[in-house]
Formats: sequence, C-alpha cells, structure tokens
Amino acid sequence: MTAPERPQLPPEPARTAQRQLERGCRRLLALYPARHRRVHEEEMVGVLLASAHDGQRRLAPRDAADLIVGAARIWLRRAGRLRHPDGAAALALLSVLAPVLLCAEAVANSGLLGIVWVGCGGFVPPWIRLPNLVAISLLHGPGFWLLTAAGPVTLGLALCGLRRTAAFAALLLAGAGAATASPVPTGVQYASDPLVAITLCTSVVAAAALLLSDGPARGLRMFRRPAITLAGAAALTLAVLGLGACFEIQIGGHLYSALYLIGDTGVIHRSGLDAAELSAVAGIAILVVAAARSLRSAVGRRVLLLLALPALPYLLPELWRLALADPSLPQWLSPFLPLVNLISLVLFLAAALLAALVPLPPAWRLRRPRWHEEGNR
Amino acid sequence: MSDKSLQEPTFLILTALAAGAQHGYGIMTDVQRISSGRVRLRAGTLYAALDRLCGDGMVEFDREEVVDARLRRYYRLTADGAERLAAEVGRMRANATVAATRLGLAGGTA
Repeated sequence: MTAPERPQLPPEPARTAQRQLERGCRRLLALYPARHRRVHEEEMVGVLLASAHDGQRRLAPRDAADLIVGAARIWLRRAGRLRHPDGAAALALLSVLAPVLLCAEAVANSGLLGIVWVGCGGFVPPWIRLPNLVAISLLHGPGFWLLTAAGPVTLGLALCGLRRTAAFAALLLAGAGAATASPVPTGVQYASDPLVAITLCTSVVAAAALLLSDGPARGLRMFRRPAITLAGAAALTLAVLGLGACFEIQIGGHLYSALYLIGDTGVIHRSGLDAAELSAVAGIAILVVAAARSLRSAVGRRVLLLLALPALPYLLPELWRLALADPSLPQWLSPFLPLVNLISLVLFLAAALLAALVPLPPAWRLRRPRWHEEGNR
Repeated sequence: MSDKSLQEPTFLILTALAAGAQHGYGIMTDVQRISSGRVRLRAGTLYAALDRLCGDGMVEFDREEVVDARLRRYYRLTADGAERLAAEVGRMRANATVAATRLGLAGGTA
C-alpha cells in the first residue's frame, strides 16, 4: 500500500454536503452482505462521492436504485452458491426425510393407522372394524385421498431414483388435494386446516429438497448407523400411530375421535387411548432427544430447520385460536384470524424461499473466490 | 470456459481492464469513454459485476492506495479473463464479418 496523501479539504459547505451524501451512501451500503462491505464499502463510498457533482447532498434516485439492485444481486448470487458442504448434505438427507414425514403426516391425519393401533392395543382386531375404515374412506372426499397419496407416491418414486418425478408428484398431488379438499374463497384459510396446510407445506419442502439436492441416494448413504436409524423410524412410527389415535379427525365439517369410530365399549376405548397416548409420548420423547442431539452438527441443524418449516403455517393460527379461547382476552380480536392466517402463510413462503436458497452444491464443484482473501489481506 | 456470450457491461469492464489495472472510478469513466458515452456504469452495477468476475476468476485484486483520504482498490485482468475476452472478441468479429458480408450481398455492390 502506498503512503496516504494529505487530503485537500474542500470548503465547509461542500464538506457538509459531502458528509450528508456519504451518510446516505452508507445507509444503502448497509444492505450489502457484511463480507462485501468489509472489502468494498470504503472504495464504493469513494466512487459514489467521486461521481457526485459539487454540493450534492443526496444520491440521485437512479444511483440509489442501482445500489439496491446491486445488493440484491450479490445476496442472491451468494445464496445461490453458498459453499458449505453441510448444506448439500442436509438437503440430501432432507430429500429422504421429507417424503417420510409426508407419509407420516398422511397416516396421522387419516387416523386409519391410529384405529388399527387402538384395535391391536385395545384388544379389537382391526379386521373386525373394517366396515368403519370403509366408512371413513367413503366420507372423505377425493382431496383427502390425493393428499394422503402424496406421501407414499413421493417416497416410492424418490427411492426408485426418480427424484424429479417424485418432486412434481408431491407438488401435484398435494396441490390438487389442497385445491379440492379446501375450496375456500379467501385462499388463505387452508392454513388453519392441519391436514391440508402441513401436507402441502411438507410437499413443498420435499419437492425443493428432491430437486435441489444430490438425491435421496446420497441421503440414504448418510444413514451410517442403522441402529440409530431404526430407533428413529420406530420413534416416528410410535408418535404417528399414537397421535393418529389420540387426535380427532374432521369429516364433512364434523369432528370425530378416531377412537369413536371403533364404536366399542368404554373399557376398550380407555385402554386403547392409554396405549395410544403412551406410544405418542414415548415416540415424541425419543424424537425430541434425537432432535436435541442433531443440533450438535451443522447438517442436523439445517435438517431440523427445514423440517420445521411445514409447522409454521399451522402453529401460528392455532396459537391464536387458543389465545382467543381464553375468556380474559377481548373477543374483538377474533376477526383478525384471517390476518393471522395470512401472516402465517407469508412466514411460510419466506421460510420456503429461504429453504429454496439453500441449494448448496458440493464444495468440490465450486472455486473459492480469490478476491476475498486478497481483499482481506 | 463458458460459451455464453458476455453481456455488454461485462465486456466493457474487461476491455477497460485489458489496458492495465484500474480502480473502480477509473473503470466507470473508461467504460463511458470506450462506449462513446452510451454505457454509464453506476456503482451498484459495477461492484456487482466485479464481485461476479472476481468470483469467476476473470478479474483479481491488484493493489490499493489512499487518495484524498479515500481508499482506491485496483483490479486487473487475469489470464482467464484475458482469454475469455479474446474469445468474445473472436466471436463478435466472426458475427460482424458474416453480418457485413450479408449486408454487402443484400445491398449489392453496384
């Protein structure tokens, strides 16, 4: 670096204008990534001041817009080529886990396996209650079955190596299911329906992971410890079966307990419910421990973040509804529920965008830019 | 190396740096001069392009100096950048030759 030259100071009014212009420049430069600012902020300020005419106090609108667009370009480019290999690994893992979760959601929401579980645990062989299962299937519309099919179809295609087909199948089935299962004119009300909202959002996450990752084959190779994998699958099964039995299901606008559909005596009902609750609690406890353990690794944290996305559009309206159920809260808040649904949807879309921007190619494909090191010397 | 043709601002930035290392403001004024005032790069566009070109290995940091209490960072063309610019010049020349030939044929020589 050459020795600094003695600056030639302009007269006071010009200096004041220049300081004002510089503050404006720095406010806009704050939009740039920190690393970019560290390397380029001072020279960009210099260039902007050099381009300004004498006495200019504010950036020209076109220069300001150009800085904003430039910041957006740099953010998008960096997001599109994040270099950390953990991201690629997380996406590959997610391309297996998200379709599995899609299956689990379908099962839990249908309540079918819950009934089977209660039947087995509650001393009633499931085939005895087969007419009830048929009744459920008849009561549900085609939208329900499209949503339910999304999981198994997506997982099957993904495991066959047809990941693009699997991704489009997930979006198509869940989208068509959501459209036919919930013909609500506002278009945002679906967020309050757990089956539709969570399945739809999980299918978006699954499709993104399938399209952007190296594929489920790589994800499967990452399951290096079969015992842990089996324990995880068992925990998920316990949780899903238990929840499927405990939760009520919605048919034709009416809520039914999955256990109610067994149509059995109170003794069997209570035993089945106990078994279901126990299995749900045990499964969830194991999953929570697994989640806590996975927080230790960067891959695990990313997978957890992405898997948590589908819960967003459901949790917020539900929490709001619970809050409204509190009699101490003013009831005039209730008309704002659609707004909460909308916020929830926007949050999900923002999170989905974030997830879509995590397409991390393997590190070996990318060249590390040289100027960062040089610029930081 | 990419076969995709360079966008005009990128082409002009590489052309400006082909004559030697320049700082940001120098590149902006040079691009305006090269394009006869037709293309005026602004700071946001210039530094987004430099960020990309540095990332692609076509441009690299050369040196920095402080003038009037302001930092100036100089950039230079890399061998890859020069090769890419030469390939683009060849492609443009070939296209221009074909276009000129066809115009000559279409317009007639009489």
